[in-house]
Amino acid sequence: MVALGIDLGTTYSLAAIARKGVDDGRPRVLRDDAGEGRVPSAVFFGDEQKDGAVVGFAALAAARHGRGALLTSTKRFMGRGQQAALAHLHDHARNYALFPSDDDRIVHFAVPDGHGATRGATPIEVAAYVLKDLRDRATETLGRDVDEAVITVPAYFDDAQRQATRDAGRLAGLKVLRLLAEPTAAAVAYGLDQEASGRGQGTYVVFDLGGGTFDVSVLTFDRGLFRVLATAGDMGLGGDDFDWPIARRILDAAGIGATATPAQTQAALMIARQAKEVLTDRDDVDVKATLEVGRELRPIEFSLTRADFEKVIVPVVNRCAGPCERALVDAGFRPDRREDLARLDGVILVGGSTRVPLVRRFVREFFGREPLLDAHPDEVVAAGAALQAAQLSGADDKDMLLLDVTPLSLGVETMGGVVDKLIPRNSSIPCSATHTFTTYADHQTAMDIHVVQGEREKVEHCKSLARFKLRGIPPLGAGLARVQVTFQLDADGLLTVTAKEQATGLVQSIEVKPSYGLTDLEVEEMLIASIDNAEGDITERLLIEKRVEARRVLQATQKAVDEDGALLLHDERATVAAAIAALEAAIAGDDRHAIQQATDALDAATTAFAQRRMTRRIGEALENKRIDDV
Amino acid sequence: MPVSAPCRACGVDNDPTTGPTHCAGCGVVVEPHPSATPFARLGLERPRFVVDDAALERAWLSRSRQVHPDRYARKPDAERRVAAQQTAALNDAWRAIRSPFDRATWLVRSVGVDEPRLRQAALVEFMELREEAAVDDAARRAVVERCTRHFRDVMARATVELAAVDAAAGWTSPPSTASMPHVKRAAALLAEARTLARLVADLGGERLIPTLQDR
Repeated sequence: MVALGIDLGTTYSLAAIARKGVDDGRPRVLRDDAGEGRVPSAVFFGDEQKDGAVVGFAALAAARHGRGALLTSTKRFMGRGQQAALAHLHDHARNYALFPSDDDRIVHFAVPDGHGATRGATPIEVAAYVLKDLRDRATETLGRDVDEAVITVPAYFDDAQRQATRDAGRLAGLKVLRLLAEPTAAAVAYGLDQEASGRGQGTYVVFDLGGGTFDVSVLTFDRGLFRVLATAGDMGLGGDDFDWPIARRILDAAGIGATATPAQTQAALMIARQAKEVLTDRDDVDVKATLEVGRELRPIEFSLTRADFEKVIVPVVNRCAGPCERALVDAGFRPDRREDLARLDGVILVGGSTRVPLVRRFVREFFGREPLLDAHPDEVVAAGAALQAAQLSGADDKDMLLLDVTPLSLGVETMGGVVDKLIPRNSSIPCSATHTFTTYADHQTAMDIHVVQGEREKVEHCKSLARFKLRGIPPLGAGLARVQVTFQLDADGLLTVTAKEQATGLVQSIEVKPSYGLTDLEVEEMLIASIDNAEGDITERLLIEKRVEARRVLQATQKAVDEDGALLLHDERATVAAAIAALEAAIAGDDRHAIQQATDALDAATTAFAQRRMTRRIGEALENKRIDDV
Repeated sequence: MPVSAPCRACGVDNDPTTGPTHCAGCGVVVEPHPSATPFARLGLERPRFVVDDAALERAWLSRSRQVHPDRYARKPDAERRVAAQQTAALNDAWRAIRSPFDRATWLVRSVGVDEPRLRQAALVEFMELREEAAVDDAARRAVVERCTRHFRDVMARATVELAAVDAAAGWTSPPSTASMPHVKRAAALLAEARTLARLVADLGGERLIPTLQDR
C-alpha cells in the first residue's frame, strides 16, 4: 500500500512517497543516482525513434545531439484549444510547431512519428510521458509497481485543465486518487513539519511562483486541519516569462531575432534560464554560447547585470499583485491595512521562481514582512502530495484533513449573454448548486444550456466549460416547463452537470461530463498505442478495471431489484435476470470487450426500470420540498 | 406530511429534517435528505438569524471531519460517494448561512417573502450618488464613506427586525401574523443594503457583503 505524490510542474516534476513507520511518516523525494529529485518536464521525440520518446534530462541531452522535437513547458497548454493557445500564449506558442488538427478543443504539437513523417502530440500525452517516467523511477526505487498517485495542479487551474491532468495520469496508467492544489500541498508539508516541532498553527499565505503558473492561497492550519480560505492566481505567469527577455537578446545577438525556428528559440531559452539562475547569487553574468544557424555555429557573447535584468522583469513580477490582493480580500483581509496584514502568521515561498531576488523583494514589500524560507521551494509541493497520497491510500493514518475551495466562480448563460453565478469562487468543495430554467416559447421541446467558469459578467469573457441541448421537454405553454439543473463540484474541483425536466411530473435525467481532454475510448487506445508497448500489464489493468466497473453495476442492479422489484414489468424481470447472468459469465472470463458489452447490455435492459425508480424517488422528494428549493 | 428516511443498511428511521449525517442505528453515513435546512445540517435545532458565528464555524468544521470523503478513502465506492454528497450538502449549507447577510436573505426567502423592488425615488437617489462620485476622487471617497455608514445603519435596523422574528414565533412558513410585519420590513432593508453594498464595491470601497462578487 503506497501511493506517489507527484508535483507535475511546468519546468520540473518530482515524485515523493510517505509511509507510516518509515522516517516517522515523513515524505521522501525519489531521487536518481546523482541525488537529483527533479525531472525536467521535457520530452524529446526523435526522428529516428520508432517507439515513444525520451524524458527528463535525457530528453534535454538528446535534443542537443539528435534530430527531432523537444517539447518543454507544455503545461501551459493543458486544457486549452489550439486557437485559444495561439491567442493567449503569444511568445510561448511561437516556441512550438503546431500540428493542424480538426479537433480545436486540444492543442496538437507537431512531432516526428519515427517513420519519417509528422504526427500530432497533445500536452496530455507529453504530461503522461513525464508521469510514466516518475512512476518508473518509483518502481525502481521501491522494487515494485506503484499505480496510485496524488497529482498536484495549480490552484487556479480551471475544470478543463484539471480534466486534462487527470487524463494524463490515466494515460500513464496511474489511478489518480486526488488532484491537489499546489499551494495546499505545500502548506500541508510545511504545516505538518512545523507542528511536529510544536509550532505552525495559524493563518499563512502560500506564494507559489512556478515556471509557468502563479498561485497565491490564504489558509489556516491547526492540528492537522488545513483549511483554504481563498485562492487566486494567474495561469499565464511564471519564471518562464523571466527567460524571454534574455532569450530575445540572445536571438538578436545571433541575428535571427525575427526568423528563429522553434528549435533555435528552445536553445536560446535554455541559455537564458542558466543566465537567470546565475543572477540569483551574483550581480552580473557573462552570457557565452553558440547557436546553430543553418550549418553555421554563431557565437553569442554579452554581459548582463542583475539591475538590467530586473528592469525588464519588473512588469512581470508586478502582475503578482492583483491575485495577492484578491486572495487577501476574499479571505477577509484588507491588503491596504497594516493591522490586517499583521494578523497573518507568515508567508511561505514555493516554486523555483521565488529564488529570484526581485520576487522576494516584491513579497517583502507587498506583505510587509520577511517571507519564510524554511520550506524547500522545489520539493515542498511533492512532499505535501505524498502526505495526502499516504492518507488516501491507507499507507498512513495521521489525523489530517484538507478543506479546499474552488478557485473560479461557476455559472450559466442567461438572456443577453450574461452569466448567472451559481457557485461563487472560494466556495468549499465538494459542493453543489441547482438552477431552474423555464421555457420561453410555447411548445418549446429543447433548451440550450451553457456552463461557464470565471469572474466576469459576460459569457464571452468567461471560460466555456460545457454546452449541451436538453431535449424531450413536453410541449407546454411558455414558462410552464421547468428544468432543474444541478451542478456538482467534487473534491478534485471537477464538474458534473445533471439536468431534470419536471414539468409534467415526468423526470428525465441526463448527465454531462464536460471534457476538454479525452474520451475514455481515446485514453484506452492511446494507452496501448503510445506508452510502453512492451508492457503487458496495461491490458491486465484494463481488464481489472472493467471487472470492477462490471461488479459495481451488478451490485447496483441487485440493490435496485431488491428495493423496487415491484416496479419491474413481468417480461422485464426475465430480461434483467438474463443480462445479470450474462455479465456474471463475462466477468469470470478475461475478455474485457465482452465484459464491456455485457455491462452495456445490462445497462440497456434496466434503463426503463431505472427511470421508473427515479420518477418515484423524485416524486417522494418533491413532496417534501418547499417551492423555493425547487 | 411527515418525512422519513429509513437507513439502507439497518432500516432505522432517522428523522431527515434534523440533517443526520450518520445512521443513529448502525452508524453508517447516510444520504443527505433534501428536507433538512442549512441550519439543521449545521446542528441548529431551528432556523434563526442571531447565531454564535464562532460556534457555527466550529460545527461546520467538526462535521466536515466526520463526513469528508477523504475519511472514507479506503471504504467501498458507494459509501465514499454518500460521504461526498453529505460533505457537499454541508458545504452548501455553510455557504448559504455563514455570513449574516446571506443568512438573512435565506430566512426571508424561506418563509415565502420576496424582497421588494426599490422605490423609484431610491433608484433616482442611487443614480445621483453615482454621478456625484464620478466628479473626482475626493467626491468618490465621500460617497463611499457615506454609503458605507448608511449600509451599517440599514443592517442594524434589519438585525432588529430579524431578531424580533427569532424571538417571536420563529421562521415558520407562512410567518405568524405577529412576525409578518418584521419579515416584510427586513426584506425591504435587505434589498436596500444590497444596492448600497453594490454601489460601494463598484466605487472601490470595502466589500460590505463578503459573498458579493466583483464586477
